[in-house]
Amino acid sequence: MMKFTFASKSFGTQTILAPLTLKLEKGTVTALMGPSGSGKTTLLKMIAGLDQDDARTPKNPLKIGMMFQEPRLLPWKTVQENIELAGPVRDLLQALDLDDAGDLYPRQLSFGMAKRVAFARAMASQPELLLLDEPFTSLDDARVDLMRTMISEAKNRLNIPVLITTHDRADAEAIQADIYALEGRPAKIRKLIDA
Amino acid sequence: MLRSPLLPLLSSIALILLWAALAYSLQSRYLPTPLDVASAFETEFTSGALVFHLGATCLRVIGAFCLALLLGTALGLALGRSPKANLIFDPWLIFALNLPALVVIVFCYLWLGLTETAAIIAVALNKIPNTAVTMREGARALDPSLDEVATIYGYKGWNKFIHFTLPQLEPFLAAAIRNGLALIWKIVLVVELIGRSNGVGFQINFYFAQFDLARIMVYTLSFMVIVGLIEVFIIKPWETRARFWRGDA
Repeated sequence: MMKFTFASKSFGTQTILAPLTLKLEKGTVTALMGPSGSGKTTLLKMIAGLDQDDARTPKNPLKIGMMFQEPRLLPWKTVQENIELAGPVRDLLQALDLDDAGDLYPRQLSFGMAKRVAFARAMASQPELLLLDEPFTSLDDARVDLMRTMISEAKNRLNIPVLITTHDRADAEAIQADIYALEGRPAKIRKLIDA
Repeated sequence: MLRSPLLPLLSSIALILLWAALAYSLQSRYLPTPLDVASAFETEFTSGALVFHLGATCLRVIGAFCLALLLGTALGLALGRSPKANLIFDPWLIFALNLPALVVIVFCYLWLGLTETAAIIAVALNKIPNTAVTMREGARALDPSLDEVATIYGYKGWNKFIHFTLPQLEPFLAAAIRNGLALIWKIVLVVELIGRSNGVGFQINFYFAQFDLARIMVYTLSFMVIVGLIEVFIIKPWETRARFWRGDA
């Protein structure tokens, strides 16, 4: 089990997150829900070491794969090269229905394809913890199903904890996630559902 | 209808014809004809003088260009990435930008003597502020969201620079290189005119004293051709490659 403990997190004079502890089990998906601006992405970034709490808690040493809300692909690298930035491509292109896209540049991809490439990149790093920020946003129904399958496979195949943020409870339930909510201001974390 | 690649060629031929028409109609020693210049070119080339002096100038241009690009880029990136450093050193940069090239050259020669080192440093010092300003804008335009991607996947230092930073800087680097080349070779001629005993600038000064405009044109045009070749065969292909991913190459 992985345990993350943070002090409060403020931006300027405004405290966004109250002190919190989050426990993540290997081989499970945890969904973090909350309204826009509740601090979901901030918490993900604190776990990833991209941001710090007010006590400047040091970054954990875990190897992390992260998919941001926007794909954040490097536009000067092909799909294949973007994935290789994180690690070997292996069968990821095939698994994510990107077989013919390896030589394409990000400008040639739809948003949904770019998002799948970002997911493949996160997986390629062979992480100990996978963080996915709004993985289902801007995907059509078929791709949402594919993404749900991929998340489940990632959890099972790598036997790692997967932490996602989402605003749609249906998505969280579909992947049998433990559901937590960030509520109030400053936001406190509360467990809603055990998978 | 004329194809666009032909237009620059036809335009160049028209310019030469205009020059020829003017020179033949004026019949003045102050405007040599294209044939006079061609004849002077043959003499200078066969004697080896043209190659020798062009070579000396090229080496100075390369030395000053590399120095200016390296230091200007490092300075520009530092100022673009650190608002505090920019606040402190911006007045220095403005001062350096407005310092006349001639003053820098004179001071370098006075402090370091009439040496090759002084010549190259004088040219580089004139170019560093321009490069720094261009690269500072490049550093400010770097996408911070890609910095986070680099951090997540463990890219630091040189690896991060090559994979994440340099491709974003390439348009600014191309601008700095193109402007730098255009500026540097002109300053090199002044440096040679004032304090060197070889090079295109020295030769122009030498033939100026003899009112030999044909030879002045031989040296000037020859060096312009070299700069043009660098543009066509090095800078443009590099820019095309660097912009390929944008789809606007």
